[in-house]
Amino acid sequence: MSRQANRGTESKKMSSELFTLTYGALVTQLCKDYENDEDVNKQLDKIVFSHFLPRGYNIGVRLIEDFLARSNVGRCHDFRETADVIAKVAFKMYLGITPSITNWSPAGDEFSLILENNPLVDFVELPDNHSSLIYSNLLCGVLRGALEMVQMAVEAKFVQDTLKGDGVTEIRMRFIRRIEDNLPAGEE
Amino acid sequence: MTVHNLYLFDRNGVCLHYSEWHRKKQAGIPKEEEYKLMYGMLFSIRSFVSKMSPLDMKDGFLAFQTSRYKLHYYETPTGIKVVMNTDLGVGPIRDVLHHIYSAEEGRPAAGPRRCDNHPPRFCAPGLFKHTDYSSCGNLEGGAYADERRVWLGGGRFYAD
Repeated sequence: MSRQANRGTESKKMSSELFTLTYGALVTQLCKDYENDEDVNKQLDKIVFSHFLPRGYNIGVRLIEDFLARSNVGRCHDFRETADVIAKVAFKMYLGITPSITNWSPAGDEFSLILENNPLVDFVELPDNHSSLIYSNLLCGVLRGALEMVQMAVEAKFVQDTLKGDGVTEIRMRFIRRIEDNLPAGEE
Repeated sequence: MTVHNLYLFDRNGVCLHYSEWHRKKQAGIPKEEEYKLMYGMLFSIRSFVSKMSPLDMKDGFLAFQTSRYKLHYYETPTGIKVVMNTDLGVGPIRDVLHHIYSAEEGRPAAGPRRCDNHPPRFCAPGLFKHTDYSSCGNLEGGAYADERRVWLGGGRFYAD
């Protein structure tokens, strides 16, 4: 009963340069549309639902289904397993990189993803007037949105960024709580 | 080997898809009621199974059977539920159910726009029609391949 030819396991390749440049165009446009960097950061992470361009969070909410369909990964039993799947399967699948997982908090509810090279920032230099822009903040939104759909509320934020002169890019992930399923209203 | 019918539910219990092939007897209630009943039963049995489990749970509820049919259940971590009723001769078909899920969900860019306020849904008006089931051949003796013809034809949708 093998399903080797499952379309879910095929992965389509695209030019990473095209991807990087497209992302750059998105960030540039946001910088034009919004006055300050804080707003751009928020847009990239995107808490509020937008009706035209789904960004970070909204991408994550959709991407998780694609991810599960392709990867056949089951439910994770703890946050460590989640961290492994994110770094070794998800990042590999969508960005072609495998971040390393470090700096676990003693309670096991926080860890860091270290990206040696971040494909989003090839060819990118931050101009001086955008010093507080978190260029790759979209990734945080994606992670947050995707994990929320598998009943995990997390916080994701950049703590180091090569664009700002740090040696590596570091995303800090914090587990907040597990979201419980509720029976839909009107049923018992 | 026979496939009787197939239900897909989203995480909120909305029936995204239903189709049937060799269903000789109906439940005798409106379809919407039937979906609610089915979802309610699944919800309860899941929580029952996890409460009563004497060991650590792994996959949880997978299937039940009566003397005439067998209900197979597959749930993704995002809460999409795939339910298939078959005859008794069908073994574990978790990967088939996963394939049904992934065939549609594995191509989000190809589907029509989804509404922003909803999580992803199977809105595609052609569920199964675009899907190449030629890779699904061999469900323990080929019943699945026979069903394929029918699958490509059937399909009712409950989109927004």
